[in-house]
Amino acid sequence: MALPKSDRGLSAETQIELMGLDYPNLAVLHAASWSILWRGILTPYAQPYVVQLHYCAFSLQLAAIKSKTVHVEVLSPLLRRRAGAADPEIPHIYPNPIDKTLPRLCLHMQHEWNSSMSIADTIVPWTVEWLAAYEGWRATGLWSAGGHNTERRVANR
Amino acid sequence: MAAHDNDLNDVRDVLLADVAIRIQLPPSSYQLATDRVAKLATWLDRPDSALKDGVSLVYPQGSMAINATIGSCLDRDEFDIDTIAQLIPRPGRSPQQALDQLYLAIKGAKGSRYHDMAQRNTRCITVIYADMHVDLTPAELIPGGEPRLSAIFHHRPEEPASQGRRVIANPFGFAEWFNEVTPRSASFEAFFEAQSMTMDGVFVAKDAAVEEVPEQTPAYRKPPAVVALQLIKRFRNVRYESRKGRRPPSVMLARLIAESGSPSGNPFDELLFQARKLEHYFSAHQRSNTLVRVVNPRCSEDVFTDRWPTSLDEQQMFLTDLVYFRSQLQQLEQGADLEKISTVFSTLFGETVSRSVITKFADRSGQTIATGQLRSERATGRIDLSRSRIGTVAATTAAASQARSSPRHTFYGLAKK
Repeated sequence: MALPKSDRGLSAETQIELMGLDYPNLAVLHAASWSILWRGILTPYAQPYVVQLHYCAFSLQLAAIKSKTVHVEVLSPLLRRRAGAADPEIPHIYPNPIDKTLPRLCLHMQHEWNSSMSIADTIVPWTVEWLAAYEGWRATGLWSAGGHNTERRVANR
Repeated sequence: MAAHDNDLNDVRDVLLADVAIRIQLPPSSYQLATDRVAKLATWLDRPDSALKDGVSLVYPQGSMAINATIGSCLDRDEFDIDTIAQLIPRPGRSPQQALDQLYLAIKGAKGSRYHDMAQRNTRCITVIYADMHVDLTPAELIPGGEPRLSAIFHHRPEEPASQGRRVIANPFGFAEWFNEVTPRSASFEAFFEAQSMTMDGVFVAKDAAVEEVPEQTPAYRKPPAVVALQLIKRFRNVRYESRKGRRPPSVMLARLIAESGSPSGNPFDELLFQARKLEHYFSAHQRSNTLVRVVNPRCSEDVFTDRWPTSLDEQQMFLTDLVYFRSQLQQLEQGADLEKISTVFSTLFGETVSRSVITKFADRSGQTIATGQLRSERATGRIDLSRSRIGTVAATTAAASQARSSPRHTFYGLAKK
């Protein structure tokens, strides 16, 4: 299923190659010309996280997959709300209709990423930043890393 | 911890160093303490002093002499500064007389500066300031022995003079020994000194007053073992806060942690190494039903454990503490997020300090992300704390790594319920 050339951005092969160079621990679980699934471990501080990145060139409505978007999920340890806090919701995520325990990370505004950009150069370090911010939020109740709708920075102690 | 590098880039190292800095005598207070001791020495030699020409030297001892002073209270900054007031020997001077003379010499006439600040204790005179206590322990040199081998005086104010006694001690010799044998780590010490100065916002003058720390050993260029000692003392203070009776003495802990350290010299490795060493030492004594006996390596009559432990039960209590301490640290060894680290630190070092350190770290980290300055390593995603300037002010000394920053982006949206 070839893409029209003008919409192609970086090819799946190129994305896989760039990822392999920078993050060899992120293993390719599935690859096609229109879809790639990586899984591996990222450790921003001292906690290893198993993450999964799925890039798809097409929209898959049933799986809530938007076209030309990388969806990032944290498989382990599962993301957790702040039990007992006034506002326990995890900031900067969006729901995953396939598995509610694996919300997807809101890493960027729509205009900040397109498929001509290397996933290894953008989505993965942004995921690291998200995880670091999440750890800070878990520990303090403050999301101090900025972002859209930052009103949730209010402490939830 | 196998993954430790030598660039203090591990979050556990950075946070432990932050706790140690938070609880230690800060550089500005160190300078203040040094100035106060110098003023006290001058005061003792004033014309109408009971000890005019009677004190040959005032010098630091104990924690102050090995740069391991920490706050004596859990939730406020209050420090005990230990010094020796070396008296010129007078034949026939009783312990009671030595302590009373020093007390009266400090106290002075009504209305004078220290009159309402001096307190007579069993072995020392305490000068009470709002933010610190300066203890002056009178001592007489014992000629013919080690340098500054001394007799200190023991007499309870409420008891008759005949109950007093002299105790042989060599705190100077111990500090000298400790500073000689404790393994050094130039890179860690430079890091710790820079962090201490930055967090305090002042610099310590190298030629600071009285005869104290040799110039080549600035007070905040601390060996890893000293930082571990500060953290272990803090843990002891937390555990003993609500207990009656004596605490395991600091000088005993100092003696036991000296001489050997962890291979890496990084705070987490060092603390776990020292915790295991202490646990092993006390466990061995407990198994053989013997009380520990720790003496000054420069004076065998100077017994650091003369007042603690007095029973196997007391000893077991501290051993139980040490087992807990080591097991909590081990929980962090295999991996932990900031929340877990915060929880463990709260139990070991107190909630206020832990919360302060973790919150500041998380805030630095968040600001670094928000401003696009975070550097993470390829392959693992590990955040380079040095180059991101999250963990250390010594970023320029950090080894070059594969860490790179990422393009600007905006964490978008919130979860919808």
